[in-house]
Amino acid sequence: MKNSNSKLLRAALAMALGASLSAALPANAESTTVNGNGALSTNARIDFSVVIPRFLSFRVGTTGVTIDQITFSPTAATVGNSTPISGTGGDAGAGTAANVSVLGNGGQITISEANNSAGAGLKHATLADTISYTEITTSSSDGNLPAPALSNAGGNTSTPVLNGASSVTNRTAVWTYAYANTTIPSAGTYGTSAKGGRVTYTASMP
Amino acid sequence: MKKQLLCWILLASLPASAATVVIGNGGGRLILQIGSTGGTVNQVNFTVPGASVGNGVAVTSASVTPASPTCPANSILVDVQARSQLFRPRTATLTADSSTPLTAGSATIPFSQFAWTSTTPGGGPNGCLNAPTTIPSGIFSGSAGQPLISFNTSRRACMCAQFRYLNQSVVSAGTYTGRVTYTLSMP
Repeated sequence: MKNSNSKLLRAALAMALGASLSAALPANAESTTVNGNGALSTNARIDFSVVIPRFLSFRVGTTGVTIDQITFSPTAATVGNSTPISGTGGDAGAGTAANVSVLGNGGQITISEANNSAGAGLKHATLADTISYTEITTSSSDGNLPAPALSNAGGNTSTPVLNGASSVTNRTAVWTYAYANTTIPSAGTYGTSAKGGRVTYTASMP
Repeated sequence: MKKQLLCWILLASLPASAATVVIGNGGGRLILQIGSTGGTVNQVNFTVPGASVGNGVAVTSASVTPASPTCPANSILVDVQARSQLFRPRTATLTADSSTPLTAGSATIPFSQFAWTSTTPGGGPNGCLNAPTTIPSGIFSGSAGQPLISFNTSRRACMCAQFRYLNQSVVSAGTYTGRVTYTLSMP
């Protein structure tokens, strides 16, 4: 009787477990399936594709469309004494400098300078006198993002250092401007956007 | 007497039916489905807007090709099932190998820049209708053997995974491709 009960119990358990397994494992002939008594392992894969477009982003001074104007104002007692004069009006360095950033992902970027003086330099407001752009110096806080030296003719360039071995440039720096103050020009206001005082930097990527 | 009672309880729990299905005590079995059935490897596609490259705003997948069955658009079905022999419960584990980064020429993007959000499949053919477990959301570790879920045999775990590119660094322009291999194992 004991054996009979035991066999009946096993049969019932087998049926119950079998039904449970059947419900949990529906037939799926198209899936990856492995069978066996020992350790089992199987794999399947997913591919990924990411399209990264070329882009170039460049900032000098205040963000957006604002064009900063940096003004140098040597005092009468210091005109032409070759002591550099700091500027005001920039968005960094208490007005003496500009925040600069350049980001791109298409290879070596080149930054060039130009101005609207037609090669004459910063013009006097009323006279024919000028101040050469070489009197305005630029220093960068980061050697990886140097500034091109300003010139009357324009066309000087600098090359930001690529980040690693990639085609990516992601650099920020502060460019500080100073008036070298090595000459004694006529008194007056020179430059501004109306008198050849606007510098345009252009970042280009191949 | 107790055994007799248990036996009758078990028998009483089985519905009366004219048809009887007997499941034999077969070997162990693993079933793994990632995306489409058969030998098709699905591809998850991302396109990053030019103004957004590397800005840290995640980009959701634009498409899955071919579309994965059962799951919503732009997501992939992951369906794992394990069975062991009678009276031999075991534990099955699903792992991901994302150790080989995506490449575009010499440029790379690590798979640690990719994450997924899980939802429970809603039905349809092979729809994990009986799945008691949803594989959790996560981020690829960029390594081999990243455990995703472990579960006891005679169980099933599923998810519809929607992937996103975390977009946390500026990378070179190009089309990057890479592959993740999922492994279901039962020692």
